[in-house]
Amino acid sequence: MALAGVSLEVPQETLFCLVGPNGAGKTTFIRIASTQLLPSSGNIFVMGYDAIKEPEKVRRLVSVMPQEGNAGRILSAWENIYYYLLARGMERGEARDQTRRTMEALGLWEIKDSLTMKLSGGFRRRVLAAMALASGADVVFLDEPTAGLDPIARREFWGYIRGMVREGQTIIFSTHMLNEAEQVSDFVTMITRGRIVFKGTPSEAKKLVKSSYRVVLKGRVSPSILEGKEHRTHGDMVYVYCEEEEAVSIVERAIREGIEATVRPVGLEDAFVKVMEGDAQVP
Amino acid sequence: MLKFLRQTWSIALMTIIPVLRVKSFFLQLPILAILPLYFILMFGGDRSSILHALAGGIVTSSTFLGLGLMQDFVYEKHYYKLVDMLVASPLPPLAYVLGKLLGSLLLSLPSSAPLMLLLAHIVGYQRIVIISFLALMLLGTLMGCISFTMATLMATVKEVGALPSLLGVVLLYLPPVYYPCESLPLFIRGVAKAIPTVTAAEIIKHYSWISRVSQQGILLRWIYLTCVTLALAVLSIKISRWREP
Repeated sequence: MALAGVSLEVPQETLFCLVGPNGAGKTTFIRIASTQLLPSSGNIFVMGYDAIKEPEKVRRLVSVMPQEGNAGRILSAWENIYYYLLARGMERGEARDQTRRTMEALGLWEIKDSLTMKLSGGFRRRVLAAMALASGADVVFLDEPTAGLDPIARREFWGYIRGMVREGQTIIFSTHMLNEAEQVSDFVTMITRGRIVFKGTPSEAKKLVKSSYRVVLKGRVSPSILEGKEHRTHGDMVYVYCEEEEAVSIVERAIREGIEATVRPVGLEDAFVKVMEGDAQVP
Repeated sequence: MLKFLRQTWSIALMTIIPVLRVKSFFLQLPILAILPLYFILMFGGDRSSILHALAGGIVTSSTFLGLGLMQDFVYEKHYYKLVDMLVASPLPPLAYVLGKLLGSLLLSLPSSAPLMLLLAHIVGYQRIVIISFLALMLLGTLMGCISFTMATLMATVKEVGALPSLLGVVLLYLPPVYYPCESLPLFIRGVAKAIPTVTAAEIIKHYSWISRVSQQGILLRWIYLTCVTLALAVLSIKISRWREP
């Protein structure tokens, strides 16, 4: 996907999230910024260095976890990380320490001697993430890092990442898991068709949704429940956006009519849908 | 410099370790190299044919050590995405290529070393081992550069397909590597001699007294092989796509 007119500044020492539909240009952005891909025009600077003209200087500062990477070679989990760190130029002792520290933090130490080709997809993904994270790079790019990870592994992962940010690293990641993005990231940028449509904090993004609550109704919903309320229908699911009192009344009626209903405050996902559908007034 | 060597060695180890764990990969190269010798022996070949086959086997080892890297490069780029991770790192592309070549060279030794020792034993000239090894390194580097360049230009894993095997046939089994150059019609000998695998085979055959050329002729062949290797290395650096356009 080509990027066009993308102007973006990522503050240092933050956890910066890129979201967008499939093919929006998130991976292209990561590939350009991490010096894997040469843009046809435009400028990109990483910690003051020109990623187009001075890629060698940028490469000393960055590491990347590719979206569809596969650590499934006939190497053990430990070997994958350790030799990758040596290839980056790290000293042997430091590489050993970093490998151990990162593997322990990401719950990989127990499988350190297992060949990655025999590991599950989630473990392979964690090994790949560990390779990028153990590098100690100032800027780490993670392309959909938690895809395929179980909830416990995801919590461990983000806990470790937040710690890295506190220690001064900058993490730029892309994801489709918007609940997760809302919880962990400091800044969010929404991209679609190669253009940025929103940039700000998750709280600022949520303000794009005028209502405070979202009620999801599942089943045959009578039109009277929805009368005068902002809603969207997807199959037999109806998403209703409203304020607290209305939400309570909708849920009460739904229960009386035997319809399954869930209610929660609006989140980044709702803001994302609004922005992508062109419903939100983006500042 | 030490850092560069460490980076190169780590890439070599990442190449060697997986192959050592898959025995069939490890056996593939010696079998490919020694197969023509087997047929020659089966059909009662004379001493000269056996020596040609040994020289050819050594050239085959070095050619496949380079060409075999093409699949490695393509898989590491498009399937494992390791190359993407290495591009976005301080690793120089030269260290990557040299590491892959070093790893392959070490992996090819079990197939090339016995052939070199056997050749030295039959012709009674021990220095042929060193000479063959030098020719093997030059040819392996040359083929590695071709492999790397071609691999970086490929967009998918599928493209690599049968290319290394096809190149192997064109560079090893059709030209006079396993047989004397004189067997070819005069008008295509010049073309055949321009193929680097033939040059390497001629060097080994000269020092093994299989087919002698003049001192000036052998010097020219060394210079030609070295220059072609250097030219392809430079060309490889110029046109390879470490960073995608």
